Amino acid sequence: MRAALARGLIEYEAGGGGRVQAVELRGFDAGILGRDSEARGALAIRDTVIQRTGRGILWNSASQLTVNDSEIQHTRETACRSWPCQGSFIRVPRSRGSSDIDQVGFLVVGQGAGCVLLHNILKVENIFEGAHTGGGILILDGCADIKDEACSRAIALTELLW
Amino acid sequence: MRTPSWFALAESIQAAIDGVANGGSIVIKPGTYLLQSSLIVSGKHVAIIGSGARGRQRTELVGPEPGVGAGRAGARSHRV
Repeated sequence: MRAALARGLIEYEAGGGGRVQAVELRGFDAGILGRDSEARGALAIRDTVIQRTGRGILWNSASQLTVNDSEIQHTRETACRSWPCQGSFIRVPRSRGSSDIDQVGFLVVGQGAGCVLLHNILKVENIFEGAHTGGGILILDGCADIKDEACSRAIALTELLW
Repeated sequence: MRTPSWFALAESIQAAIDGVANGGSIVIKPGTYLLQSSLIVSGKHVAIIGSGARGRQRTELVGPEPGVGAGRAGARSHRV
């Protein structure tokens, strides 16, 4: 599905923003979709599970995007695709007390790459990525501060085919 | 029972989003909600808050399979 044609389960446009918290999102071409050429509406995603969607987050917006304590898994394509966001994927470390996601804040598991971030100024902390057929984190033309991430696979440039 | 002024029940999630003021919140009770159309947040900030993303008391928002051709907002959501 081309990004321009995708439909999101929740779509943000024209300055729309706010917060998504404590929900599970399934279906649609993207769980969260943002379209805005101006940085008018910041979005924070917290304690949310996005799964069995086309993409998890498709953020074609200049607005800031922050993702904390969330999981994206079993997506058909890239778990997170963000451009040209001036945003962040931030994990504030916190133990959940459960097995495989213990000490893991932002879990992305999918058939595509974990994150494709284009033209970003971003901050990535404590992201865990696993079980991708594509790549882990791919950043192009960005300024990134990455630490404490664990990627199970190397970056795959084929994920640029979007 | 009187409904507090700060609290309103909406017939659909989209209606709640449309009706809430900028900076407001909508709270979705536990359950599975089937969506035929995208939920659109435009021109304001809204907090969409469920009861949890995991466990029996979670709030699930479920749409069509990817690529099926979901529509824009308009259709009601159904809780099942």
